[in-house]
Amino acid sequence: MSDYTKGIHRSGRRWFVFVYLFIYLFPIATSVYFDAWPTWREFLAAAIGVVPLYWAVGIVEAFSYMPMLGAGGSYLGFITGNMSNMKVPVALNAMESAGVRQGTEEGDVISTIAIAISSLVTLAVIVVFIVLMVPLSPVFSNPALRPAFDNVVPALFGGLMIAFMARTPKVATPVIVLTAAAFIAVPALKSVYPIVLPIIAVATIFYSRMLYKKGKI
Amino acid sequence: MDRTFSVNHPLLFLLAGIAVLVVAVQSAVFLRKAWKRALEIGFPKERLKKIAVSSAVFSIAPAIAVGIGVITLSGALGLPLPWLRLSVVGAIMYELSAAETAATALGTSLSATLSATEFSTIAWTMTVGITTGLFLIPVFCERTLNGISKIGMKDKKWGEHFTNGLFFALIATFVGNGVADVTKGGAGLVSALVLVVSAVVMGICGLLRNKLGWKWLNDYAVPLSMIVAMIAAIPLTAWVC
Repeated sequence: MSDYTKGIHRSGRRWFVFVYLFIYLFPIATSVYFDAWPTWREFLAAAIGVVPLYWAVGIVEAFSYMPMLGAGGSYLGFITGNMSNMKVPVALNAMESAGVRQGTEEGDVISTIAIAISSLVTLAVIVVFIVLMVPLSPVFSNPALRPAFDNVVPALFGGLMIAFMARTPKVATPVIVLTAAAFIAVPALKSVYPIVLPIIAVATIFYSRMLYKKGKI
Repeated sequence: MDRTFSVNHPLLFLLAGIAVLVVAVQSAVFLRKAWKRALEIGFPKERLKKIAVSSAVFSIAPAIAVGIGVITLSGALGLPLPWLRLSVVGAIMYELSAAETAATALGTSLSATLSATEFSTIAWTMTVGITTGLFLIPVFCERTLNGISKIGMKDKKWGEHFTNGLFFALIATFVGNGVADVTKGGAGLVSALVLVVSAVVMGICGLLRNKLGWKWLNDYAVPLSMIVAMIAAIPLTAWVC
């Protein structure tokens, strides 16, 4: 492991602890300042509907995305959030256009640069929205524009699908076609997609291994 | 400072602002480190600039969607909490449903005026829900990546197929998500058509790059296909719905 990668792991862990403190400062300070601590009963009633699902999703996402984003990309991406709808696609796109592979130091630095830029752009756009909320609201709440922003995720992944199918079509094509067919046959899979993702990942790796051993890829 | 609770109290803006600033500094620090390392290992500066511009362009449309999420949530939760939750750790898909679920469990709703305790309970629930899975990153990131790196070192070609497999699975899952409701018509059909438009534009970009030698398209093909497909969603919705 290079000194750069070791340094990223070290500073990534420190930043995690630091940012965690600030994230929790919000509910702590709110509760203290307004004397508004939730009772355990209220908290558990609210948390029971949210926390188990989100913990499961969090665990699955952590192990699914870490190998794709590398060290710097993971430490930064998970802190800044919006992973599947922004950080993961932006990193994939940057690595693809730079012609680098994940699992290499080159892939790691490009993924980190893409995610850092994406985070800064997002933070700036949100601040612009907050500052210009009054004049912007009618524009973006216009029902005519709504479909464009409701369809960001399919618009992102259609293009990425073609870019990655070109890499190893013998693996990508059947995996994408069969997964799409399974989702169409059982639309309920949509609501549990974070759980479906690692299952597809394991199946894809087995399939790749089989083709690789036969010398077909 | 006035201690009368308001979802837009200045203290809440201050708390959210500090956390957002910390994350902005972290992004800048990581960007600097990665940029410096990229130059050391031989990436030309111009190439890095192109990647940075392409990543910025790529991020604008999804960032606007996140901004709309902040505005949507601000009606009930004020601006500071959605600002914090969607800038740090959170995700647009989770935060709205987390806030709604928590409000419903408390016997209120996001369309009602929240008391200080209801607001703080929702803030606690959203924070605990979204941050717990995160502790896995500092604990397991190094070990996980070392394990994968060993696969790559043993057999480089198989290492590439292994990580490609993960990418394909991710893309397949989101393509599945995009087409899942195609048979229901309406928004489900629009989502599937948007995916197809994006794929077609990407295919055309690939052809132009290969046939006409437009290599610059490499950096902008995915952002371009995304933006064209998002614009196409507007007439497609008018046509289908």
